[in-house]
Amino acid sequence: MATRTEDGVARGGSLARVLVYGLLLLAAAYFLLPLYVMLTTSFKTLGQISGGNLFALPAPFSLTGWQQAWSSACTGSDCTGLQHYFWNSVAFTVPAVLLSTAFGALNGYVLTKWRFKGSEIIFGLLLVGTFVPFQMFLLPMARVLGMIGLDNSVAGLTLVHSVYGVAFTTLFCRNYYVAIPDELVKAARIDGASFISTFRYVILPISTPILMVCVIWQFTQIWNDFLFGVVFTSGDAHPITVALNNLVNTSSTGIKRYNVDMAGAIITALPTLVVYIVAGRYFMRGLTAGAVKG
Amino acid sequence: MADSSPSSGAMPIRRWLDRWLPKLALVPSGVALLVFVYGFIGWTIWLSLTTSSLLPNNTFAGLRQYEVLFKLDIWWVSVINLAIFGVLYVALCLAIGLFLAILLDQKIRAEGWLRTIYLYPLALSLVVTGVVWKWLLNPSLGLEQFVHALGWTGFSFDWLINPDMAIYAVVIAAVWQASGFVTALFLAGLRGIDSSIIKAAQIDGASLPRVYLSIIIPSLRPVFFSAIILLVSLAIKSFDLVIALTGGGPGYSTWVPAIFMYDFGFNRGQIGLGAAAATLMMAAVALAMLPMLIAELKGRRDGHKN
Amino acid sequence: MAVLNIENVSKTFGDTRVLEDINIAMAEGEFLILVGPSGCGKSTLLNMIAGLETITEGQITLDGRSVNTASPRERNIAMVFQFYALYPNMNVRRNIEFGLKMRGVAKQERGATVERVAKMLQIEDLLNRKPAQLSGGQRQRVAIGRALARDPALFLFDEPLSNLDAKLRVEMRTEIKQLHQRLATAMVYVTHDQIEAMTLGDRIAVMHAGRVQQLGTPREIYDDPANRYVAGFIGSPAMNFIECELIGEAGDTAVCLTGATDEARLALPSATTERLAAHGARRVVMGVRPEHLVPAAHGSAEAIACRIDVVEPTGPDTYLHTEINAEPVTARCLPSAAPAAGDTVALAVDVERAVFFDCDSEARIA
Ligand SMILES: Nc1ncnc2c1ncn2[C@@H]1O[C@H](COP(=O)(O)OP(=O)(O)O)[C@@H](O)[C@H]1O
Ligand SMILES: [Mg+2]
Repeated sequence: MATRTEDGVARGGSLARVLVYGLLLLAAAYFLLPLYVMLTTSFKTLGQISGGNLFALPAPFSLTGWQQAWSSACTGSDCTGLQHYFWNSVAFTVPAVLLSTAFGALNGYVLTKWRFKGSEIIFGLLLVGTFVPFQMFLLPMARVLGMIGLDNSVAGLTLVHSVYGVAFTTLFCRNYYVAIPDELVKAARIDGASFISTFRYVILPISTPILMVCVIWQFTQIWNDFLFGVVFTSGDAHPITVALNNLVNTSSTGIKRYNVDMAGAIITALPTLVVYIVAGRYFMRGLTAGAVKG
Repeated sequence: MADSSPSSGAMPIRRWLDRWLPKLALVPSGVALLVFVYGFIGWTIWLSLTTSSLLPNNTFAGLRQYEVLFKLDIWWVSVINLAIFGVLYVALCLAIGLFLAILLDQKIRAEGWLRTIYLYPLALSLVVTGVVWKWLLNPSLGLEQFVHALGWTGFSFDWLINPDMAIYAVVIAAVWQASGFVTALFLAGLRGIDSSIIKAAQIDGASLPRVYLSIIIPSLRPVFFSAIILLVSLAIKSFDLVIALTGGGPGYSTWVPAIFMYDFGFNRGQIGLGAAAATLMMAAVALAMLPMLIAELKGRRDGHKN
Repeated sequence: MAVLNIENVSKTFGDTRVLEDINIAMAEGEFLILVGPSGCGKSTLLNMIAGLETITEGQITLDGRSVNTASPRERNIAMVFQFYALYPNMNVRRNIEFGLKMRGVAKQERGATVERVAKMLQIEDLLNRKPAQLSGGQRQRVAIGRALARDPALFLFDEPLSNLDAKLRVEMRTEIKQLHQRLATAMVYVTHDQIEAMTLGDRIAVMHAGRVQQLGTPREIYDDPANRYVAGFIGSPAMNFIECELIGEAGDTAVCLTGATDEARLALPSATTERLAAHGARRVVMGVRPEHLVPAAHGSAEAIACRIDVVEPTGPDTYLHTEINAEPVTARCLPSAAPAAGDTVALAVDVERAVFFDCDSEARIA
């Protein structure tokens, strides 16, 4: 591919190069602008916001917005900021990510290395299932969570996210394990390894890349979820995304405090943004795997 | 010779485990799949065929909920909004994505950085995206005020509070979120094209735009396919962004079927109608998938012939 | 008692039958080759012996006990795979001792075994490397080491050398032969390479289309092929097949062969003519190996005059390509006596060594 761009398509004159770079930078500005505005606004005072320029840097630099967003802003009826909801999100995201990844790896292993009559059908059903809009599951799931006493709870959200996450992690892992030669598993079986020890000693140690993809993909999906959060929880049990929406759309005092809104938005976005920056490579791989589906 | 297998007591158990453990390992996920996906699909479809309102019940009502649904203005507002939103969202994402991908494919020095910047919005929650754009598009303090400060005081940008225009504001935010992803898809597609074909075309004297129009873009067909499928199903499911950006308002002007389903199913105690809306959403996704499935099957068959 | 006994074994995948009624008994310490073209079912048979595939019909016994339902772990076997199948996350030491670890062998004993095996295969320096840091030949050595560590009753090899380059392949072939002589353990060795089969095996099973076509020593297979398939598969350059007419009656039969010009008549040995007569057909396929089709001594009566199309020197021998009965054939001659292309040469057939096949069934008839 490098050879192509070298002496193939990109041959135009230097003016064209300047134009290309200019357009690309313009696009970068377009993507970055909201982030910039979000950051600067969060450090402004209300006075600066109503009086000043959208793109101006904060002067003076104020942490009020952040403090309020974290600990005292109103999200509906109570006014304790986002911190409680942040920990709510942590509390169901972490176990749901781990559970769905673990089951995804196990399923992928069985579906590629221990195929049996019917295993392809199970995989096909799973693949189709990933396309069904979640709206199809909301009404029955609300009933079931109520019946088993998990409605309006962090445990309930853990269950929901684990269940619907497994389809994706299974898909990722299956596609990864398909490329691992079957002979490796055969060799392990001849060496006397059981179903579990083959997984434990042979498959798992070479699965790090795909487990990373699963963890990062699931983390992003589950942390960012709004639909399940808003449908299956209320008040205290809300995840941070729902709390942020409430914070922004609760105008009890009548004045919009955009600095608080923006600080809240950043607090909500920070975990996934950090993951994206640290492990963007795996994020991209998860996306393309999710896009191509099978 | 009778089955004189090594009969140390532990072996039958081991053998039994060897045989059944792989299947047992799939059981939890298999059961979850059957109950929580296919069972729930069946359950929701069933609910849409009953008189369920505040509480679910099992009184069969045929297609009555659908009849009611089709008589509701608010449903048609949702559907039309989805159509406007979907078409613009898909078209703009494809256009921006393809354009940026082609630019990025010109041996750009900082490509890695640019790609990272283009893609980060996808890592954000749609609620965050909604909140940010709500601020940017705010008629009194956002971009409008900025343009006023530049001296163009006649400029007015009130889409967020204008019922006729609010859905286009949603499009702006949604396109910002997803176009970097489409760029990445197209870029991967461009990198997969056999460079010798392009060289051959250039040796034959084709100009650069011609090479793109008649060789490169047509060979990106599969990428177009998967991008469209993906964007369409994202559009049909869109909920968070609209809630955060407009709350469905002003009035009902930015309702989409996902909001309709949520509101009728959970706030207004119209479970049957909510279930009917959900079922139609699934049908829409299935319809969008159909061309891909057909193309896929056809491709497989042709592949076998060759 | 047979180490391995395969009785009436068949295998079907879905509704395609890939193995049909296989019968092989293997003696203590024997080196058995399964040879055949790709897709003929060699690996499937090997996997069934190993317990990696189920047996559809028939029975396999190891050391006298049926293992039809036994898992690989319960069979005292070890296997070496074509693509090495080394565990990429483990270093060489851990690869070799993995089988022992899985069987609960104590750490100290494992260490001793690894040392012994590494010494035998001269891979002591590699013990701490990962498979990715090894060359192809080294990897194959480690894979063999992994099999040796377990000290099994039977070794299975599935095309272990087909991934190596030509020179290394010959070296490793010799090494495997030496290994077998040293260990005196029974080995089943799968290959599609007939030279490997001939050089390594005590006995060879030639497989084709899911069946064992012939089971015998290399000499038997070479000199006395059971059918046209086996005759053509073993030997390089391949045996010449010439369709020809039989004339005369039992006790005095000849074949008609036409080269460049006139027809020559070759009288056949009496043992051959009797068997041909018993069969009855007048048209048969005669099989002659290139080394039995050589330039005739001067004045020989039964020579066939042939126009040489291509002369192909290989070093020790020179091969001559020509036609007999309008079919391409290969003859062999000494490099010093090689004609030029275009020359007409009188060729003689060693009729004592010629074999005959039925035209349609391709079965051996004489
Ligand atoms: N798991 C399987 N399912 C269906 N067919 C198979 C399977 N494994 C092998 N086969 C078929 O069985 C035949 C024999 O395969 P194999 O034993 O691998 O051949 P060889 O090792 O001689 O090249 C081939 O036609 C192959 O396609
Ligand atoms: Mg094979």
